[in-house]
Amino acid sequence: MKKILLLVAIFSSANMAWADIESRANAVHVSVEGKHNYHAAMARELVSIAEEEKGQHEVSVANAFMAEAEKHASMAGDK
Amino acid sequence: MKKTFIILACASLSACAGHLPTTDKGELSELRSAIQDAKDAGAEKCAPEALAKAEAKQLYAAHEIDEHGGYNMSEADELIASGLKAAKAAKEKCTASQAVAQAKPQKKPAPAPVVKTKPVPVATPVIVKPSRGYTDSEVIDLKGINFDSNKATLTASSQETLNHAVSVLKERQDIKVEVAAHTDSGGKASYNEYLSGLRANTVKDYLISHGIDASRVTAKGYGEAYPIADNKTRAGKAKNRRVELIVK
Repeated sequence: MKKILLLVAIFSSANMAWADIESRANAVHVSVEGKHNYHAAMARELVSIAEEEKGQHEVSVANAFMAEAEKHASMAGDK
Repeated sequence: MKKTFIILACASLSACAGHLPTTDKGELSELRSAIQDAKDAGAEKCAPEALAKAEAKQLYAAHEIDEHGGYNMSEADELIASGLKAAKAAKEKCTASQAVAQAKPQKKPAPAPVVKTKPVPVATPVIVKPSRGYTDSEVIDLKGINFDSNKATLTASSQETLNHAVSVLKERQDIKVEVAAHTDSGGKASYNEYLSGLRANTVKDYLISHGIDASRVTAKGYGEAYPIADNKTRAGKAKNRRVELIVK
């Protein structure tokens, strides 16, 4: 029983991480929508890489690229 | 068995703490140079999308190199090629827009610029020591040609010096030269040889693009093999990172 609970915990943790990446990707897309500067473009490119890595189940890599995307999105300004 | 699961769970959690790869890899030097060229041309403003694409590809390629540890480089190679294409497109877009801006007629004639004359390092012919490998050759030492660490792009001040070298070569139509580039001793010898080759070719391309016949110029990277100063000091390293024109 303990084993099953532990496995469920591990898999649900992974699922949460994936869902988290999806929601963060959406947030970045929304925040840079309509912006065409360098930081907005970097944010879009890096989110795309993060999503690709997520698709290959590389959650840690996806997280690293997503964090960088968020950093650029925060510097993208108003236009 | 319980311990195994706990270890697995810990490993799973620790794997989430990822870091971006570093891009100072030898495999990425050409792409780094191309990105720097694009930035120097003002790509952050005039071609942000293309520049961002190039930089993102560079980061992704760095990750692939780390992941495969130098093996199975096909994915990294594809990313590098794609990044190079984007960086070059960014530079070309900026260069084209600058040319258009310059071609527009000015409403008022601009006042004549006040030119402040500044002493510019002139290419000085010197004779090299026999130990360097090219004995009895006249060498035009291009003082003022400097490169940043790990880069093969020319700075604005370097271009000024190279223009003097172009003048010398135009005056002396009878000579052929070899562009000889050297590095300091930092990093691997094989990488230094590769980097100096890139730098030599950068200078060669500059000379050719400024009217020197391609048949008169060859390029060779000597790496760290022929230092002229102490590689233990910063000043010595800067002296060793140099470019010379060997008269053939």
